[in-house]
Amino acid sequence: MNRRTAAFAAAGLVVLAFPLLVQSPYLLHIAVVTGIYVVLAQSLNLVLGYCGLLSLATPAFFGIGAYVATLLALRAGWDTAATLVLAAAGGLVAGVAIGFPSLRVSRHAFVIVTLAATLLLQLVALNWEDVTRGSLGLPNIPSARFLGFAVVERTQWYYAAAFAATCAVALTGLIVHSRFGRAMLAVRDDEQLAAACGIDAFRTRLFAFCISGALAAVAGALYAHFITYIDPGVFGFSVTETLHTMVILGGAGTLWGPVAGAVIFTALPEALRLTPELRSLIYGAILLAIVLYQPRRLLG
Amino acid sequence: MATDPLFLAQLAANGLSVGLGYALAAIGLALIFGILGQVNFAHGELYMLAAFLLYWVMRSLGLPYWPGALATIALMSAFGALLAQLIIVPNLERGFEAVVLGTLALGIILQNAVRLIFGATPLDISAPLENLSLDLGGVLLFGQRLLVAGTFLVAFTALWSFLRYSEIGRAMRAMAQNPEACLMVGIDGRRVARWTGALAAALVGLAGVTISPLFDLYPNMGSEVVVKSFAVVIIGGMGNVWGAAIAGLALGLAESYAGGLGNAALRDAIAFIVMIAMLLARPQGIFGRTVRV
Amino acid sequence: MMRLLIALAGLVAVAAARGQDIKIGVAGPITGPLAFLGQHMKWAGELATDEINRQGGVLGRKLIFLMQDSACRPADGVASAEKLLSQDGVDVMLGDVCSGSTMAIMPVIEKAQKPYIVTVSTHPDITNKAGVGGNRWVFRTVAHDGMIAAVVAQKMKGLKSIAIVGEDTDYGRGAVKLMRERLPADMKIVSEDYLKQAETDFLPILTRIRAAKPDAIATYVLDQQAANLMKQYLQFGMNIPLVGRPPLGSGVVAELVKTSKFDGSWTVYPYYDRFSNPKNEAFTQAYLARYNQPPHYAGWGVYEGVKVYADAVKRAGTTDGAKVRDALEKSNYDAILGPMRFDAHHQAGIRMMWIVVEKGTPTVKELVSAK
Repeated sequence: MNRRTAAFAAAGLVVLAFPLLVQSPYLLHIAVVTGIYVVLAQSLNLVLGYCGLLSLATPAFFGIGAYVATLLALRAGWDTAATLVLAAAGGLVAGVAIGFPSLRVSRHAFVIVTLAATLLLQLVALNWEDVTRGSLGLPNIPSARFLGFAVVERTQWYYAAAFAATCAVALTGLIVHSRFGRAMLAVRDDEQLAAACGIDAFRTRLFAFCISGALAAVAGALYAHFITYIDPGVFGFSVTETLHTMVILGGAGTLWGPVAGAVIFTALPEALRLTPELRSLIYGAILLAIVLYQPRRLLG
Repeated sequence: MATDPLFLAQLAANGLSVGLGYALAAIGLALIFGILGQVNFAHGELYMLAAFLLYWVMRSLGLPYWPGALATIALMSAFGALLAQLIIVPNLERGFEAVVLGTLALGIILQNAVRLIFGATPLDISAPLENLSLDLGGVLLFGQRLLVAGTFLVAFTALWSFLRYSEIGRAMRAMAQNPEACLMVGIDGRRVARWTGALAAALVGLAGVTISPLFDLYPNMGSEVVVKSFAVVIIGGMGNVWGAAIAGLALGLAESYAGGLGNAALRDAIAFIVMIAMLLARPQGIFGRTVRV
Repeated sequence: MMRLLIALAGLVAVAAARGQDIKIGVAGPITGPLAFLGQHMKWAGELATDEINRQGGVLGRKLIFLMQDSACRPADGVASAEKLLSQDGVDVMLGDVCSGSTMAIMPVIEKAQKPYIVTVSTHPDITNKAGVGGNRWVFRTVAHDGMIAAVVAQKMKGLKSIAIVGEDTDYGRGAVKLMRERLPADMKIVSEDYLKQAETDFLPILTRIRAAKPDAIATYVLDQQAANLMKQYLQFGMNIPLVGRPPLGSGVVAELVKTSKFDGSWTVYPYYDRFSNPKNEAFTQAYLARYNQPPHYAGWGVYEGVKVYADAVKRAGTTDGAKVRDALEKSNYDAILGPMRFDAHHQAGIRMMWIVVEKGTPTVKELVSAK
């Protein structure tokens, strides 16, 4: 067993034993949020890190997932196993709808369409009051229930989130090590060369973008069940800033970098709750210092 | 009511003045993107900083509005050069991500520093033209908004001459067109970056000192300005200064008619509808992508 | 020997209990566009706890005030609440401004079994879900939008047409909806606009309203946005009263109201600092002396929240969550606006103020009791 495997085994043990070591609901809460962020970070990593595309649509997918899961659970009483599948499908469809017209045009067009789509979806959520209740939001979302087994306690949520995060990392790993993953990297590094090798850049990017959409939608669904309240603010950009920080500083285009980024940049603002007034100022200063003095990435 | 010419004329007057304000607020962002290929996420906070600096020089140093505005612009240029030196110069050769995160961090720092120094209670700047209204045959024009429009025209002409005739201005345009060739003919990219930063901050500072007396001042006041500026820069063709000017004007007019004839929700949607329409009609922007001045 | 040990242990336990402070936690916006309201919440909370501590605290124990930043977002609200409840071990929670954050905190509080006094949010759903048959830990000290809407609709009698301007949030949309349900069927609504909270430009909307000439503009925006609306209103030289819920008593618009151009405008607010009675004067003077600003409604809410909690702890004789909750249900606290009692849904039957601008001064014309 080499050192790398040992380190992973140790980390896995810590993740499994965390709720036994830590009883505090607050720390478990942060851990669940971290798990959701890991899923989101891998979603962005697929597009930004492995395809080199700047996407501002993550909140759009996140919001779609949150609303699909919430409405199915609240209005139809569906099991979360089913709503998660439909939320993922929603993200997939939105990925096609946003990516199909824009990825053909140019990379700039892609950025603009992802931005416009996110903001338009927020307007839809605000104004389609019959379904979404508009800005009144949807309160009292039931806790997640998988095939009848309810996830209520913080510890149960912890394992659910850890499972989701593990699946997201495993899925990303499977994709980037497959033929499609190699195609993604080829298109990212040299589009012309990739085309010469017979790789369809458009289809490769669209595939990655749709998977990214499904992942973010699942994260949105988990978020909705965990926080129990959503409003059109879930389409907001507050998540995007944090997420880009996690992926870029963690290491875009690596499998474990964004995971480390998600852990660090969820824990940091929470640790800074020690000084509520200065918290955001110190967070900004630390972020700037990292960018200036450690510009490559946090990890290798 | 919708066909009343006076009503339509008032909407046009509003749209023109608001649109020139959008253009003034957005050129600085277009300049940094066009010349250095970098995105400044602290743009809205620079606008906010200019407003609070003006408040500070007027309150603490007792300067009247006009000299206060000039002092603010001078301080803003220095700050812009500092920003460029600190965040943009070390990352000129890297991808855009470092500058995006660096300016994002700077924005967070500025917002919270201003909150801790000035408090969160909204403040107010009084300017001499603020309460002046001109009645042109039933169409109202507002003094401070005319000042914004006039400032834009003067600033834009000055910027145009600067980029065209000054030595550093020509270097900036060369940088926009071909950074590698600049290196070979001995143009100092760092110097260009500092000048661009100073110029961009001075321009957004002009927007801050002329527009902010119309509204109240608080640490998050830049958030709406930055959204509009990004829309203007995108519609205008990513970094094209002329394009940003025309796009600002067009957006102001479109929003005014959408809000006046439709409602506020339609007005909010206009920027994105125009953005997507532009993309389908002219993906290269109004005048193409280079900084042509 | 054993007895001595038990006695000693008992003494230590009593000393520990006596030395333990009572912790009051608030989740509110320290950063973000509503930081201004969070500032007042913090000031008022510190003023109220200091006043109580100067009189020897409660049950001989000192009060400690802790605030965490919710930035008015549900997820940050929950994180703040979890931190305050399980790390800092607060005995009670107060806040938040934004109803979304408040509603996300409600299930957390139920699990922690500590009282939660909602002091600023006005969303009616909070009351519907509190008290009997719902979340028994949640109490609200301010009137909710439904109670306020009933008063607004009553005061609107006689108006033939109105334009509606609201912020595009749960507050703006929700409060307008509740008001419209109570308006007479023949009242004409010439326009209805909802603006994003950060939007500053009211020109197209005011241009349209100026041409439509309604009897009044029903205004549902918060302080910062109201200041921008009123500035542009003055530039247009308009003469249509603002009614409904414009924040006419806020310090942010005081200079604008002083121009006398808003005479005849009115609002219904839970609190306004220039209300005159001895209790309020003591409160506003202490506040002004310490912070150089009159108290905002968000500050008043937290101040009364701390006081009504202290009163309940005194009667319960303990900070035990369930016992204090039961004591709160029987509250008859002598508040600034009269006695504060909670109904079956834990909603205080608190009085509201009808404030009319006269000669450039907002004046409390009537203290209206909620029905």
